[in-house]
Amino acid sequence: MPSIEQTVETLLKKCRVTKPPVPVERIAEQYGLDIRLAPYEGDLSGALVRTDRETYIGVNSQHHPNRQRFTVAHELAHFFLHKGMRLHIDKNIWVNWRDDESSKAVQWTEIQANQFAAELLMPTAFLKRDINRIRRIDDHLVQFLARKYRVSSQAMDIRLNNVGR
Amino acid sequence: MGNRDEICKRFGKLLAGRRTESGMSQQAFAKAVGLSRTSITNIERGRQPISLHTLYFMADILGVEPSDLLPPAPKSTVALALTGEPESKWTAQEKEQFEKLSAKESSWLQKIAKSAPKKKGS
Repeated sequence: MPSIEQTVETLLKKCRVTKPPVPVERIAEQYGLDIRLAPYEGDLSGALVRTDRETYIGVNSQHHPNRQRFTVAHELAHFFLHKGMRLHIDKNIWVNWRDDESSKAVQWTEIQANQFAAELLMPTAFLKRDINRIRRIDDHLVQFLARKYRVSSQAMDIRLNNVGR
Repeated sequence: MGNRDEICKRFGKLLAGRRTESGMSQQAFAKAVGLSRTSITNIERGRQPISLHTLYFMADILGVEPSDLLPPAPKSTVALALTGEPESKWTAQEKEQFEKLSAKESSWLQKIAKSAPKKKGS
């Protein structure tokens, strides 16, 4: 199995995405996925639904646009990586699944989907290009990059720590 | 409708609960409704369906709204609307997922199932 980084790299190439912000909605549409919005008061982020006729991504429209982008990316991960299940419902995608009682398989798919989403929205190659000549990562840079990639500052902060240099 | 038995069972449980809350015995309730005690037992065990006007009558006797006696739509209805497949075709994992859905989550899923896609190219 290719790594998540490789999978995302191939996907970005196929969709001809060369720079941030990554157009997650266009990528979804290119694969025939509808994006459907509906408000939900609470911690539900989104869902991926496969029926015999169509596949679509549901997004909680009450969330911040950046968070909605993350949700689309997360559901795309389920679409590409977890083909067996026809329904993925994502509540609290940020929670630490290891504390949860739910089955190990679900935990693993959610962790994987989050890794994929982070990689898709903030691709390693793009980020390395951006921080290549920078000596020190400070709050200003995190905020600048968060705007550039259209993600939350927290997501960017975590991502920069993970990517390393 | 393959869900008839399940709906009757859940209605029966709900009815029995409400009746007990009201402090009425099966016998007393049967008399008020104008049915035999055996019929009430059967209804409460989900073995006998009732008609719509009986539902209103029972609610009136118990001092509740008719809707208080109606169980929420079975998860299988939501799942069928979403997947287009009957319950027998779902995997164990899917079944478990549907069971865990709250009423609010189910209604959100039904909303997106019906909603038009977001405009292309946005």
